[in-house]
Amino acid sequence: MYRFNTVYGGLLLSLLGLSPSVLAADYTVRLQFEKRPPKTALLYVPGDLGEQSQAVVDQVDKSFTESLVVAAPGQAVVFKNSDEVDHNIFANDMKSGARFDVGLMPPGGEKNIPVDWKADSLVRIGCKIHPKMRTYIAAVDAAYSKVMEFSSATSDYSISLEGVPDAAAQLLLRIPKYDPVVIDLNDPSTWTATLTKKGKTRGSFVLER
Amino acid sequence: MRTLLSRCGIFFAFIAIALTSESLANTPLSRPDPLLIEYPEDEPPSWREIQLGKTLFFDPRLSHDHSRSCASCHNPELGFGDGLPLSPGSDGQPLGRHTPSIYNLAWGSVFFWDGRAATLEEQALMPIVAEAEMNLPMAVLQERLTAVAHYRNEFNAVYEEGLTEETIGRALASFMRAIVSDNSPFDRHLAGDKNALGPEAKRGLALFVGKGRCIECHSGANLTDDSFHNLGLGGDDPGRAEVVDAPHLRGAFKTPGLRNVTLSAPYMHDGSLPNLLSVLEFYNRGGGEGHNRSDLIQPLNLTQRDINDLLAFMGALESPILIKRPEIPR
Repeated sequence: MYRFNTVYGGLLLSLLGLSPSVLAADYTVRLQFEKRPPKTALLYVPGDLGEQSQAVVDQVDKSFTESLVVAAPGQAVVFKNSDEVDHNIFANDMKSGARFDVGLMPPGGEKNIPVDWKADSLVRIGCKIHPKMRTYIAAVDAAYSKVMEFSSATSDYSISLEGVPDAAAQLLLRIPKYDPVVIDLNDPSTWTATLTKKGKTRGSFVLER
Repeated sequence: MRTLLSRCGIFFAFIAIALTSESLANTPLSRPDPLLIEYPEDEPPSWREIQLGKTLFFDPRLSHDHSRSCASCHNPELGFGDGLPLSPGSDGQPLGRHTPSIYNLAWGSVFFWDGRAATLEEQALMPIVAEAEMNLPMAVLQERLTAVAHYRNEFNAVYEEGLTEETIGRALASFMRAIVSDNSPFDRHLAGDKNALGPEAKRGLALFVGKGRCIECHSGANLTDDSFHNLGLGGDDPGRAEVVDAPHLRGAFKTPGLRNVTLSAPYMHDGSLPNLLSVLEFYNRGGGEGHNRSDLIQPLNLTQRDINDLLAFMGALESPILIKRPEIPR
């Protein structure tokens, strides 16, 4: 129930003549939710790899094609409409300062929006016409990232993280409306954490290597 | 006819058979799936919380002059409406918009005709404090409820925080989420009962998803896309445009769900169409002449038989909910 969206320094390592597998580590994350799981989450290693792929948010069948998109602060997100109907994407997040209105976008439309709001934020994106539509933009510099999607019928998840840069010091878990989880990869005693939402326990996090 | 008690029992029991309905969840029309409800605390409310919300829903203490409760406009015996084009406000004058249906709001994404409330908890409080509606300041309501032993006990038993503005909204929302209509002939048809729909309703269903184009907006388990469209009804109500600062949405209102639609006449955000026949005739001629009408609204060339068949299908969406009114605590 989760999918891969990995961005890491394979190209950089290849340029250095090193195999990614030499300088990368594999982990397993186990998540257990006590109540209804969230729809999506992001695991990432903070870090800047320079040029990263363009973040794209597209729309099909009155839905966003991605549940969560990672965008580097200072870069731009491309909003596309591959649907058969008009959309009007917007964000109005007071906490992060993410306030933009893509405006009425007919099918085939495309527009760039700069990520000029607070870094390390997770912002909900919606459509003024179709409020059921929902996705998130994580404004983070990520040397490695993985977006997960959860089913409301499943509470336990085991997620493989392959090719995590060996030099990575931190692993962060961001879930909409949940409190962030920060793991020190150099200190295995921190590899178990409680998932909380507004301070209330909602599940557990275990990292294994 | 069943009581709300038995309805809610079935509602929660529905979770056990949710997997069987999941295969229908992504089709344009499907049965309501409890697993898709987003609860504020990530799990269904307790029975006691629903009962507390139910008592509040029927309690006229929630209005300034003790003259009306939520159920005055959302009367369960009248399809959770009041049968009027526009309900009377606190000053006796008609309100600006028709009382909306509240069936299956558990699956809603935004609330009111213009979507100005993002959650059901937020929605539940707004008519209480609105001057034109129940006209009761929240501080006064909290004083009134705190003075009643029943409410003090129940709020303290249900919520760690006790009786607060937030928990009043949560209790009312919990009750409204339990108003679930999910056992209509159409639901039984979707579940595989070949005899659930008569030939007229079956033809009506084909028209609903085909020539009649109803599915363009009335899609999903509750026959609504929960989105905003301008039908060309005219008038000077800005609708969604005022809420989200989008001129292209001027005169656009949220698509109402069609569950139990036969019970909630009259229709449209302004209550201007008296019955379902007039609604179908309105769509058949391509909607109204008002400015900014959606391109989705087009002449349909439906025959009289088509219209009759669509009416039969509307009838197949009926699954009444009988509620025993609670005793209002003194």
